This record gives sequence, structure tokens and C-alpha cells, in this order.
Amino acid sequence: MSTPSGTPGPADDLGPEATPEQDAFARGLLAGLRADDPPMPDHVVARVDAVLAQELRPSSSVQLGTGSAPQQDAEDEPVGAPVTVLPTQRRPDSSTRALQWLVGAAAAVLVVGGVGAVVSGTLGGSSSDSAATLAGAVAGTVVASGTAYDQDNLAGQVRSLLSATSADDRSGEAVLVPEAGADLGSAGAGASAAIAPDTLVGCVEQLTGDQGEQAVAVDRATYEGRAALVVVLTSKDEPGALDVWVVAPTCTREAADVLQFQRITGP
Amino acid sequence: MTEDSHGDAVDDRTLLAAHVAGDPDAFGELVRRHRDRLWAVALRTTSDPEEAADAVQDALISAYRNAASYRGDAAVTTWLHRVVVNACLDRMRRRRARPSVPLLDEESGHHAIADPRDDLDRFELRHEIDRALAALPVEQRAAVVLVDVEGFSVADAAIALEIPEGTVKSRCSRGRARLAVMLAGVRNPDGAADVPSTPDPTDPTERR
Repeated sequence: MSTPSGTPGPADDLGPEATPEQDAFARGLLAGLRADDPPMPDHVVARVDAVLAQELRPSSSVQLGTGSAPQQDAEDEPVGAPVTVLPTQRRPDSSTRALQWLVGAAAAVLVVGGVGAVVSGTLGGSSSDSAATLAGAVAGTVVASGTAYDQDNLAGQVRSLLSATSADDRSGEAVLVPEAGADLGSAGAGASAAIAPDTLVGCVEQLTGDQGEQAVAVDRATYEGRAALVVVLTSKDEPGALDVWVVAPTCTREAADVLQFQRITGP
Repeated sequence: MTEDSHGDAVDDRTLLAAHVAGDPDAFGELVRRHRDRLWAVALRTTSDPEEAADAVQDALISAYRNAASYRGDAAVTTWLHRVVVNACLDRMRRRRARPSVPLLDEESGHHAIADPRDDLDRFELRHEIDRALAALPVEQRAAVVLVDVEGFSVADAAIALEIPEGTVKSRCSRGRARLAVMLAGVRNPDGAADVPSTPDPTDPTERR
């Protein structure tokens, strides 16, 4: 709960009290303001609804997604090796091109998309598990586009993200590179942010609240100048719509720290 | 759970009790009922749409989690306003009373005031009043917003602000005095006389 504002402070000694004329004048002006009180803006309504919806979700019963991911109890899940999302190798025809993760359990050899260079190496056992785990939570693309998302353009930016990633063939691109000690919240807002798959899975499940629901896309980027993850989900409440959650990089299974929520409808 | 067996709206206290008892929809209904007014108070108290949004979010999460602490000695809406105002004041204090940013029309939802159907003078007047409010010390502003804008009684404002009624009156009076000076050049649309010439309340020599 917030700190009480009760103790008399400097405000109580700022200036003289109003004369009767001043009092009447000011009150007359102020009384008319309420008629023009603006309603809470839609984006604030959505944000409040989103955080309150999260409050409803018990975090202790969340399980990992279905599909190829092994079913494990969240509390017992071992933490996989952190991975690094490598920065985008931009192509002339795709300004928002980023990296996709090949997250199937068979994706042992890692290749950097767009440049043809092989990041030789294999994921160790724990990382393979992490990849499989991630596949259960993210059906589409995980990227670190570095896009500077903002409130006014969020819908269009998300559409561009989805368009760019779906238009690309997925052969020969992307990456899970183990990085010891890295975690989702430790990196800056740049394109080479470190992400722990288990943390990301937990974040997605915190947002969805359901087992097996998969994100359409996840983008490590910035929002209004702050480091953020943009998580795109198929709306359960409105067929054909997308629910876009912008969360802090510290998003976990326990708390999402939502910065913005927006439902995108229409083409 | 928004209606009783007679189809009447469930009162706020019942909704809050239902929330404490585990009704998953009750708190959301409370928020829907009061969010616009809470937003207006937060917006005018912070004079910053982003701060207002953050404060409202913080406050409603706090209220959600601490609903059991509601003692029933004030109206639920007063309690909600208390939580919101405190969240606003906390945020403003943390920012160390940085100069307030005038309300941004698009962000704040005040674009409605600029509707072509509205009289330009009226819009400008609102803008001037908002700017003057934003220039008040935040504690004075909170008192003035609750009492003079939102129509709270002094007693309810005292509960919401967690200060004695006399302090509410004092803050309102001093706030009005400053507003009267800052707004001396505007014409009251209700026909009241322009404010009389007054000393500058920011002048230390005028302080009591």
C-alpha cells in the first residue's frame, strides 16, 4: 500500500489562504472541469485489465507447454542453459529481418540466418532440453529485432514483424547459442540480448495462463525507449485478433511486469 | 456477479467483499464502475498521462491485493481514491517535484475538449486551468482536485488524503489563492466577476 500522505508538509505553508473573492472565483472555475473529465483511455483500460487478469492467475500451478516440449512441473523444471539471440543480419529487402530460432529438439547445429555462416557447435543436453521447452511455448518466431516499438505505432510494428518473419523461408537461419551465466534480464536493449529459454517460457505462460498455448512471435526490442519483450499471441477472446503484450525483460513465470497490452484486429 | 436477485446493481461494498471471498469478477466490476473518475483524479494530480497511467496501475494492483484491509469506515470509492491519490503522490515525490508537464491532449484523452463542436474559448479556459493546477504543489493540487473538481466533501477528501479536515481546508484555500492569481486573466464563463487584484502568494513576504 502506498505511503500515507497525511502528515502536514510544505504544502500546508505555501502562500496565504484565499480571500472570499479568490475562493469563489477559483471554485467557480474548478467546478466546471469535471464535466469535461476524460474517460480512461482505451490503452490504459487494456493495461489495467491485463495486470488485473494476471493477478487472477495462480503462478504455482503453471506447467510447461505441450507439443514437443516435455511436460514438467514448473517448480521442478531444471533451468536450462541460457542462450543468446544473435543480432539481425539485415537484408536489403527486409528491414525488420531478424533471427529465427530453430527450436526443435533436432536443431542441434546452429546456423546464422541471412549470412550463411555456420555458428558451429551443438547445444548441450540441457540446451536441447531448453530448445524443446521453448518450442512448446513459442510456435512462431523469436527474434531480437531491436525495433523501437512505441505506443502509437505498435499495431503496425507488430504487423511488420509478423509479415517480415513469415515471408522468410526458415531454412538456414537461426540460433540458440549457449551463453553461460546469461539470463533474460541481464542484457541491454540491443539486438544481442541474452535470453534464458526457461525464463521466456515462463513469461509466455504467465501471459497466457494456459498450458500449451503458444506465442505467435516474441521480439526482444525496446518499447518507448525501455528494454522490452513483445509477445504476440492469438487472442482467445476475439477470433482472428492478436493480443500483443509488451513486458519488461524481467518477465518471468511469477510476474510479467506488463508495460503495454494491445489487441490488434483486422488485417 | 454484478446484479443481485432483483436485478439491481450490487453495491460496492458487496463487490469488494466478494472479491475478498474469491469472486474472480468482482474487482473488475469495481474498476469498471470507477475507473474514469479514478483516471481523472490521477491525471489531474500528476498532470502527466504516463505518470497517471502508472499510478492507476500501481494503485489498482495494490487495492486488489490489499482489499482485505478495507475496514468499511469509508465508501469504497473513497478508499479507492485514497489508494490512487497516494500512488500519485508517491510517484510525484519520487520524481522530486520536477516541473509538471502540462496535460497532453492526446495522451490524456482531453482531445474530446478540442472537438470542433466545442467552443474554442472553453477549450482554452480548460487548458489554462489545467496548467494552473499543474503548477500547484502536489499536495495542494490533490486536495483541490478532490474537493473542487471532483466534488468530494472535505470529510471524504480528508479520508482519501489521510490528513485532518482542517488540513484539507487549508490546502484547498491556499491552492485556490494561487490559482486565483494565476488565472486572474481569464474570464469566468459562469459570469462571476473577474478575480480581484491580489498579492502574489508565491511572494515569501506574503506568507502567513
